Amino acid sequence: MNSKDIKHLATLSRLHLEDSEVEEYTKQFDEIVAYVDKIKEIASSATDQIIESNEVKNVLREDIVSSYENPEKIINEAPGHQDNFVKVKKILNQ
Amino acid sequence: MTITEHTIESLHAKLISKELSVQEVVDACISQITAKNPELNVFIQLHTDFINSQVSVAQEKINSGTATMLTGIPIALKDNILIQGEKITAASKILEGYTATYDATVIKKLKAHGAILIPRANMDEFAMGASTEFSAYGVTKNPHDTTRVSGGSSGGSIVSVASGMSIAALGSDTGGSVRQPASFCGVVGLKPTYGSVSRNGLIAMASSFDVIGPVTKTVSDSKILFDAIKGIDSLDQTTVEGEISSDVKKIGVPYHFLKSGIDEDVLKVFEENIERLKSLGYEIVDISLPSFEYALSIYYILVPAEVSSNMSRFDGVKFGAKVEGKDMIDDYFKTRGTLLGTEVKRRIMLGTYVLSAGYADEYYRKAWTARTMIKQELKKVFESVDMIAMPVSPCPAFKIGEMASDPLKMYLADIFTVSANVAGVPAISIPGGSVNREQKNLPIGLQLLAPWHGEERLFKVGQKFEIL
Repeated sequence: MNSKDIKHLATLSRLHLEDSEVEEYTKQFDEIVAYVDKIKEIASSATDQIIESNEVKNVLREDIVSSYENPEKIINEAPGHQDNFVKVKKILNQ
Repeated sequence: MTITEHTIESLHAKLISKELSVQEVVDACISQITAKNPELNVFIQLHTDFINSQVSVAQEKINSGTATMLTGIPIALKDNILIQGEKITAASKILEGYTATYDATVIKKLKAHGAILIPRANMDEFAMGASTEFSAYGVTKNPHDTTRVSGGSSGGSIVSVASGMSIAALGSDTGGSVRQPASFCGVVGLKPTYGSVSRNGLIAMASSFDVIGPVTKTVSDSKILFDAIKGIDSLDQTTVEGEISSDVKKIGVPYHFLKSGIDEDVLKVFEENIERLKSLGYEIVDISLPSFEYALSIYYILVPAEVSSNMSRFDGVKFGAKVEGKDMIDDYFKTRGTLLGTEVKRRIMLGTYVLSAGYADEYYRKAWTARTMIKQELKKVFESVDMIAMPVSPCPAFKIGEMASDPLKMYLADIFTVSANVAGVPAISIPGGSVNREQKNLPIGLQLLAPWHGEERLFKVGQKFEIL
């Protein structure tokens, strides 16, 4: 893994990184990925078979609409807000 | 015995007999926090008005004879459990200034008991870490040796109980975050069965691993607190209930898993603990859990994957703090890049990596397969033994700064705790002994694991095992 890969991951992750951070993460990623690579020992053929037999069940409930007590409290926690809306910078250019 | 040395049980007796008032108990905790917090850094912020505002309700419950075991008992809360109207940050700068808009389900339950909530116990940022060194508000120190870490990520909750700032606490355990600091600081930490306690109102780290767990001085206190917070919740569709027999005769030990990478003195304490279990009448059986070798890889693939998804909600738009960029997307980059800490960013990128096109099959999908293998293997082992015993951590509390710059080394310290989260089974850390380092005695915990919904087994064996 090189610094270009880390910068690409940071872009996908919406993270601004300083150059010093890129350098640090580049070194550490190789080590961590080398460790978790152990998972590759698991045969690909095992995948479908085992996931199928996983013992989980769906928990369903009625889809009932109920009113929320204090939506304005939630809106007020947004860094930018106006009236009953969350405020962000312009997204589309004319 | 001072007020803050009490257990839930013994303090309850004093409150009911009116030997102590709720106000006296609360005052004792607040003065202990005021005295010790500057040194130990347990609470990010102390909101005494909020704490005191709960006193009259609790005292009224006692006076009217409607008290429960938890009425008037001060309970510290990790800074990732929401209390309506209270500040909360999950020890991150990105949530600075945020006020919770609702009560977590566990908070609603504790309020119904008239427990005294003490919010904002320190933690690793968003619970990512094993030492509290990744808190944006500084490290929580180990009360047994302040040059060492408390462990983490629930370090604040643990030290609060260990140093008498509260009588009990709640933490959250995603890969050992309640058990490991409990082991490092000499208290009892329970990671309940996945889904047995509602996660509604717990700031999410890795949703298929996270569970809220009690921190207490004794095993019977652990049961009291667990019984109060467990149960099905319509606001968390992963909550489940179940019951199994509490009988324990055979305890399995995966000796093959303890052959390397463990401190000699820690292993010696573990062996003494096993002898003690034998002397209590349990049969010790050597068991084999070959898939456990994959547990840490599974954990450090699936957890970052879930983290990268859960953390996407922190974007400077919806909650807390924001750093202005030149346009909308730059707001995201600047806010997240500047306000999230090193470990959080590392895990977001790791998760993005293992989920990205071309890698998802090799990492994410295989890790899910291996996770199911571990569950199946445990299910089979639990047909022949009733419980499993293991160490909690391969080492005693380490020095502050010793591992912070070496993430893989820190991850490897989770080797014995992650399996319970990968499988979803309950596990408990109980004080088992101590090792001596630089003329200081450092506590070491014993870890017991039971089958799904087998908490009663942990409490039963734990109560016999613990030395009070």
